[in-house]
Amino acid sequence: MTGREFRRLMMIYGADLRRWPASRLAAAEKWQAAHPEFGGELRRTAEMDRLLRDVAPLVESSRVDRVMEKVLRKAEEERAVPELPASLLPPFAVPLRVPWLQRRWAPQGMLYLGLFFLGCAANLAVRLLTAETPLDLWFASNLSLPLGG
Amino acid sequence: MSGDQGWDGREALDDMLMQQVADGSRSAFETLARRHLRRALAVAQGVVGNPNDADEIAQEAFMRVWQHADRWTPGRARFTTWLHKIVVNLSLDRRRKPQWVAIEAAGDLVDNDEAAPDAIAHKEHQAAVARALDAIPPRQRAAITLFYFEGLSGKDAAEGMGISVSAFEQLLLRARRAIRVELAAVGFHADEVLS
Repeated sequence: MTGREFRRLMMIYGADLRRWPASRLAAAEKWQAAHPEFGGELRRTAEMDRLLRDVAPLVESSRVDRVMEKVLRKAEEERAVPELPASLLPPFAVPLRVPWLQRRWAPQGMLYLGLFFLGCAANLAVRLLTAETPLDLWFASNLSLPLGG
Repeated sequence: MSGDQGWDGREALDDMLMQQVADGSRSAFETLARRHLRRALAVAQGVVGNPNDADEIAQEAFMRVWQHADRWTPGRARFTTWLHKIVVNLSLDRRRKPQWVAIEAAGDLVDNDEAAPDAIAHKEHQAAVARALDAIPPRQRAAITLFYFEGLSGKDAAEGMGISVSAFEQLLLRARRAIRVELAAVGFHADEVLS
């Protein structure tokens, strides 16, 4: 380890070598032991660490209790909202955040899809059977070209 | 810190509680919240600075735990890492100006004539650190909060912020440089060799 690397790690992680990355600890301790003249700089860094810890926010127990009460009340309110049974969910109701390939399709969705196509087929059949103009005449009058007027 | 004895036991307990919360257990949720709410409040306040905002953030974070517990996969990541991520992200989303309580704590240094010079200097230094924390970007504040205030290891703190260890180190480095500049302005010189 070089002096520059030691200082860089000290600047990042502070003066307490035990908090440095484990992979660098042995090398750092060796460097420190070989450079006792560096003690003053380490002490100043330790003082800065202490100043940092001193400004850490304090959270009183009464505040924790107050917020805890709110959290539990809100969780209870959420639970109080009745969930719809699966059979009443609209078809294809799946969470939007589930990736497309991982979505599980609701079985009743297939039933709705089948009914839709059946309805379409029935509608077409009724239209054809009840049409005022037979299809061959309709094609002849609409799709043929008048020749020679 | 991750190296603490009994960490595995606490982690396993969190995993078990989360599974119960996913099954809709309110008592498990209450136990889990009681174990971690103080930490969530401290992290949020460390980042946003304002206690009222921090309360709302911690509350929102635990509601997300309650709502999304079914997405939790035991053994994949620590619960605390997941919680830190939620709290840090919610805190970073808040764009209000932080108001550091430590500045208020330093307010009595002017009229305290009888205080020892060392104590006065210490107050001045604290105020300088608070000013620096107030001025740095929220992500740097989050890095300081997780590592120095909460005592997480560099690796755990980086995971809690969802960034690489080297990116986390850069945030800490910049934050400490900014603090050093403020401290130098009041006559305190720390780590002055590194430029």
